[in-house]
Amino acid sequence: MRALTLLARRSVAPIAGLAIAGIDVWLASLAMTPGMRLWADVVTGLTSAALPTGTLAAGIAAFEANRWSNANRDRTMVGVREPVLVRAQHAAAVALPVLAGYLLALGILGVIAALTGTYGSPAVLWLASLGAGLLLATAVGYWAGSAFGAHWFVAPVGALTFVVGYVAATVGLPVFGMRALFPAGAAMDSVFTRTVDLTFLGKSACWLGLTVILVVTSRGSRRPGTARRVPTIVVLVAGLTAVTGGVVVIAENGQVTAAYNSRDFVCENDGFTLCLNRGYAVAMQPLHAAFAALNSRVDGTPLAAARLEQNVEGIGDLPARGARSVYVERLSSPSDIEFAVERYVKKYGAAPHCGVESIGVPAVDYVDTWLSGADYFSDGSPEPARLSALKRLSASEGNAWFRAHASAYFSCSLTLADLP
Amino acid sequence: MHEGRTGAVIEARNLTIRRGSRVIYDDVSIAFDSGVTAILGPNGAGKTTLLEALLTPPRAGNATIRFVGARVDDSDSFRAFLAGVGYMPQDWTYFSGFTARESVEYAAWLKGARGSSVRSVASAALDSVDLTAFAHVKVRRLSGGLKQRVGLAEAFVNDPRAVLLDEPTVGLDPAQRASYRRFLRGHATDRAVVISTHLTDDVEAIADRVVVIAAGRIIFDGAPAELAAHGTRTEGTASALEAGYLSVVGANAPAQGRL
Repeated sequence: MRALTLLARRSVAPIAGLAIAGIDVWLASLAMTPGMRLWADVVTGLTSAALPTGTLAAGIAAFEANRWSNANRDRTMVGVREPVLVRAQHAAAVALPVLAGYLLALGILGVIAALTGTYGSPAVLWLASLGAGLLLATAVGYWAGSAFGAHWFVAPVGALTFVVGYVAATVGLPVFGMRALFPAGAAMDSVFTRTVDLTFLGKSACWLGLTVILVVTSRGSRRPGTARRVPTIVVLVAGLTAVTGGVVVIAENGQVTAAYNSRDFVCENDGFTLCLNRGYAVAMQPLHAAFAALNSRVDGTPLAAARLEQNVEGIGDLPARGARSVYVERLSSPSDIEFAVERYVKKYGAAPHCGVESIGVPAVDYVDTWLSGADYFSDGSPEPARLSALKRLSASEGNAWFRAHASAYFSCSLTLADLP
Repeated sequence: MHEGRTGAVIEARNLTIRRGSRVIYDDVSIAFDSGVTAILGPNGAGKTTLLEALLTPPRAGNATIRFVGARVDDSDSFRAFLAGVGYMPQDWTYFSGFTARESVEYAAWLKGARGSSVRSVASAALDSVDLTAFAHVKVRRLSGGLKQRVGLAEAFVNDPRAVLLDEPTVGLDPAQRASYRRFLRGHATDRAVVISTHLTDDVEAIADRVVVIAAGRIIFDGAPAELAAHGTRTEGTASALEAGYLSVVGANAPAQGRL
């Protein structure tokens, strides 16, 4: 233990660990949804950090492995302790500060999350797999660093090995499940998903198994002239674990999330019911006001909202009976609220009835824009006169006009002549 | 010759070493008792190869290696062998970042020391080479002579029965070499100290026995005085021992290679 701490203390791995903690915290902060505090975003940010932190870990491990190997080859050769165990101990002295940096980041983010009331809980298996991926990146660098004599380029080569592996896996592997086996890559966690635990278990098993194999097969883990004293069972178990994990990941096609609505809602009943995920409660007031404005225009028509539930758009969008889905992901500006209303109008208004032709029906387009409260042109160009006329209507005038033209609107037969 | 003595600390019999098609040693047998033995030979004669073969019996092919009378032929005897030998390579290197104490402690740990004994044996080793005052200085900041002493402390940290030192005095100034020799002389009473060197004054100063190797053979094995008796001192030779060495090596050199 003393030798382990001695080696760790006298390496640059602790500095790398601090850098990794900094990168993790920084990228996790960048990934936060504007206006929200969600653990899912923290996990997404940490996942995006896997490439830079893995590259750093690989480079540092290559440097340390190279430095140690070239200084201690003779000592290890005449030492009593088995070279493979000595080698593994040094690898641990490099890997532990790196891993500690990642854990430090988790601790910092956990404290920030507790202080800011961050919603949800971290996906533990996901985070564990990120740790396993960081260990594999370290092992890749360690193996590469052990293979060379003392040269300045060893650390960059170690780091480059990881980056090249990432590019090769991303570009070269045809199956997504195989690509997912590389210990860095983008994946997005969300409040409206559940994690596919099996994939993360498979990743962790595969990466940890490969880590063990890389360390025990690194150059210098064998006494010259002797057979390698690695217990065969260790290599077999590590290999079997890696292969099993890899097969599981490929079988799951690398899928890490599946659509899921926990229905952990907070609701507001004021004329209509709006239910938002507890993590998005901060959007309640502006969103309720926006839908109240919409309802005042479409009251008495099928577009009027009675119960709205926040949901995920696309696969897994299954609102409760009698409820309609509302989509909101961020709250950085008023346009995010307008966009939520616009998506509602597009989903439940005329557009589905118009099919692909909806783009060619300007009258419907103008009405949808008016109902959403959005600008027609995002670049500030003057809006069409017909749309301006709609916007000038009072709530009661607007409601009267929409009721009168609702059937034309929903049948996608509304023309510009119908507009005020 | 000192071949096949049962009381030898370390002994190799029928040592044959090849590098590709080249035969470095062909069926050589040699044994080392307590005291200082100097292995003398021209550059490239295979001094380092011999030490490395003695240190890693599995690399010594079909040779028989005995340590303190016991044959080194399985993992247990190999561990006992490694626990009982010390080694300082010619190009002794240190792990940058380690202090002198840490470097010696790590060597002690590699030699199997555990727990608090790591610190105590390292302290004793540092003290024995007068490095206690520099124990907390980074090795890279020490002078060349002090660095060599760290290497010496590492070689002796496990209180070995046999110590193999490859060109240990190269690069040292006269005062440092004198200090080095005193240390070795003082620590050779109960252990075999084997020094590979090409400096005859090292041999003259401390060796009880000198072994001259050339062309993969032992061409002389005896006391330094016996070697000195082989030659006639002429202009250009520093000492009688050097003259004897040159005479022995010259007599055994291939005819075409002689000057």
